[in-house]
Amino acid sequence: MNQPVKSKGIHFVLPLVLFVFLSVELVICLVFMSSAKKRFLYEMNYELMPLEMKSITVTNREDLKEAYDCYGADRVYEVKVVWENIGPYYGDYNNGVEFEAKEDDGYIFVARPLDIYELGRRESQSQTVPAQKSGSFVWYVCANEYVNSIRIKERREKLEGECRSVEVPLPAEPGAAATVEIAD
Amino acid sequence: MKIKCKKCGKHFDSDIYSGLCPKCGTYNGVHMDETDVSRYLSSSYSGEESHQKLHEMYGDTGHDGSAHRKLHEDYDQSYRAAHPVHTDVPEEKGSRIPGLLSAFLLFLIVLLPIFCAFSYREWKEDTIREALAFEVRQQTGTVGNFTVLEGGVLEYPIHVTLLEAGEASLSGPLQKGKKLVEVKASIESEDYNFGTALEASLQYQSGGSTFYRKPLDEYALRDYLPLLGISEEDLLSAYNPGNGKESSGYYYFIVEEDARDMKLFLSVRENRELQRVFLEGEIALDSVWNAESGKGDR
Repeated sequence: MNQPVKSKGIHFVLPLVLFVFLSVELVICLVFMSSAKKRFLYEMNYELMPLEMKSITVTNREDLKEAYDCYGADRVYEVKVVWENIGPYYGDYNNGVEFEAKEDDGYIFVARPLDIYELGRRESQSQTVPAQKSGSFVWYVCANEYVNSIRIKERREKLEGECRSVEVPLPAEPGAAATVEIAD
Repeated sequence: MKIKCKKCGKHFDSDIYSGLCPKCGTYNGVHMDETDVSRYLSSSYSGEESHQKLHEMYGDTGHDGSAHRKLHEDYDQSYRAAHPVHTDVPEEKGSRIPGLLSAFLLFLIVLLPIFCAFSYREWKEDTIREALAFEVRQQTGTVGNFTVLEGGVLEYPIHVTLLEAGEASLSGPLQKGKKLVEVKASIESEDYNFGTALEASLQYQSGGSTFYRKPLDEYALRDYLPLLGISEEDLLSAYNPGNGKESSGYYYFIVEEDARDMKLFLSVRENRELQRVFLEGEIALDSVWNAESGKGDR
């Protein structure tokens, strides 16, 4: 005899639970959207910086080997990239490029100045390209003797869904340079 | 048949109450006075038991108990009316409303995150399009060592004057082939421009290429400030683009030794969210350059 009474209660409670759940979900969605928007806007000029590579010049800088953390048969290369900053933001050194060795048989890394002072590191990070201007960045990279070419990749895939990657030969002779012009 | 209770004197219908007084419970066996029914009506029986005994009495005495049966029927009917059974067809109709509501709410629960995700994506794409279409305005009001940045979101024009420029001597911590350039400037505006920042960089030519350098901040220079003979307050930062009074100070840049055609490049940008640059201007260092004027450990 009590069965009908209990059944009626369930039909009342279920929509109430769903309604409460929906309200909580709505709040979560709004909070997420609000914070995601803020985060996106805040990080936009770092993550979406539309720097475009125009040309790359790689110079063998055997003379700087002692000044950077490269040893033995490793070689130091100066990589100069000419950028065009197409966006309304400051172009930043850290958002520039990624370096990759062509093959798995060698290693490559951005070389750090060997001096004990902070200014050496700060100096390279102070490179910039103002909004809608062209300018150059210089990196020093260290590669072992087996690496004959490196691949330089833009870090702008988040903006336009693509990033260009250019392969550049590494000149073996000290002081020699190789330049690659990049077409639009 | 109406009778009067032998004990309390209440008048009641003996057919309805089977001779039991509804007030005091005394049995008034007027309609069954030829049969001894006292064993069915003992006060020691509990409620359910005495009801059972009543039915036994009807059976044993051959009394049809029609009035009592009618009471049962009436009670059953009123109970059913008050407590409908859900398997009945009309009551199923009533239960569909919360069912539909539940389905609608479930639909909303699934729909809401999808709607939010799509709106966020649309907003993001619009924001990127809008940001890239943003025009940076070039300032042309530079005369000698002085320029005025005005317009756009700048409520009050910012006046920038180059006071000195030279090479600072900080030989120890600098990389081979680099030098430290010191620029002294004065920045002034009538009042504080909210939501803006003034970024400075040094534009120069080296090895046939154009370079831009941001000034070194107080964290990079903190160990060398005594050598340079200045304090942190003497450094100009991006966050004081004229706060209603004149402020003068120094920018320090590390550049290549062969750097030439140096210009102080100024950008006014939003101080929050997108941080877009909306105004740019430049002042050549030639007008105030003095190679010997820089501070340092020389």
